Amino acid sequence: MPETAISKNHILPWFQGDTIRFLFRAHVEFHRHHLGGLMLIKPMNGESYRVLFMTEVGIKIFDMEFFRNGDFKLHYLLDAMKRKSLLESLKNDMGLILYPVGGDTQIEMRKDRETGNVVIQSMNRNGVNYFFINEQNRVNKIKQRDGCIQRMNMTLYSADSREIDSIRICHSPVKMNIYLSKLNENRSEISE
Amino acid sequence: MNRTVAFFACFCLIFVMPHAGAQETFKPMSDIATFKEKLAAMSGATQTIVCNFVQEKNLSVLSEKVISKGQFYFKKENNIRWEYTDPYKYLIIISNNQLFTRDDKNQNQYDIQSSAMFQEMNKFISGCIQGDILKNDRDYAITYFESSRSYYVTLIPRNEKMKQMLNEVQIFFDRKDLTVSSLKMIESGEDYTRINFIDKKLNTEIPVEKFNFK
Repeated sequence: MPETAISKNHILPWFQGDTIRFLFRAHVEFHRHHLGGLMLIKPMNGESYRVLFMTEVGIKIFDMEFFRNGDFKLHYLLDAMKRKSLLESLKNDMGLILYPVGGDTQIEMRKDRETGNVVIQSMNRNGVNYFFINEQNRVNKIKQRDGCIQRMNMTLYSADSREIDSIRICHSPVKMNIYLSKLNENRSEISE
Repeated sequence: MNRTVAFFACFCLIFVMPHAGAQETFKPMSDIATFKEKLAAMSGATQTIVCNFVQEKNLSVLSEKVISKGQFYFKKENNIRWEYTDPYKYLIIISNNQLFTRDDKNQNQYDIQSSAMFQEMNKFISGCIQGDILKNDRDYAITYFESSRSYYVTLIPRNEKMKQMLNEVQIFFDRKDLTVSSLKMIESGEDYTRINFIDKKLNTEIPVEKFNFK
């Protein structure tokens, strides 16, 4: 991939603007287990995001907070879900979605030979991340590699390139897949 | 994890029904024995329940609630259909000692008899729907209140595992017919789930297909 000069500051986040929250139908497949529920992403005054997962019947499974400076806080985790590998994967994936390229992250800018779009390469403790940027300057694909092994492949779908519709995350060699599909709530029923 | 989810599904089904009386003034119930007698009589005379429900999830991090809706069906003995329709589809059926769940991607079926946990939960669900839960003061500290419109019962779990999920359960009964009108499950902090049961119909015919796993 040839290098390009486009700045990472041009990348537009998916989760901000006037929307007070983003509610997704969520499916997590972990080995042969399946966990369904609702995933809620709440922007917190531009400084952080709260990410909550709950079952359809309202029982809270986890409550995480991701800060702009890269900090992370686990507010709540149901005892039955205390599997370190699962928690670490969720933390990694949601962190990449919410803050794809952190302020202090060392990056290389490249261009995708196939599409001509920008690809940002960065490193973190989980490996090398590749962020594929679409024409509207939003991340629409993330790949994470560790050496020659592809650890994670994430695709973000949007019909209008402005609002996210769904997200698909596939991990390997660990069998873990996450599907998020945005729910269309009746806005009149979201009472302040 | 599947069983965990099923456990939660069962757990929440237990607390099936009510409409919390906003602004109602409650006082300690003056005649608990009579309330229990009336509840037992109502339960004995009720063969089926059909109603709509509105579930409000209140999270301290949100100033607004997460609302979901659906239909609830109960038929003696021990047939339950709990169906979310908006803004997502999710179905739970309990029938013939089987627990069935289905969402837009997956469906699962469990033999309730195969697990002590499922058996316990099934007993609990049935007891709640039919009022027997109020006899269980071994597992819950139960307190009774009343107003001019409602009866209101709080259940505080004694079991440590249950306590990890719920601090308190509040069940509101409509005073005129003793049906559950609202259920509030309070978690740690200020988070809670309230389920309001509306348009209740008692002893109407429910097609057997409603409890079939398809």
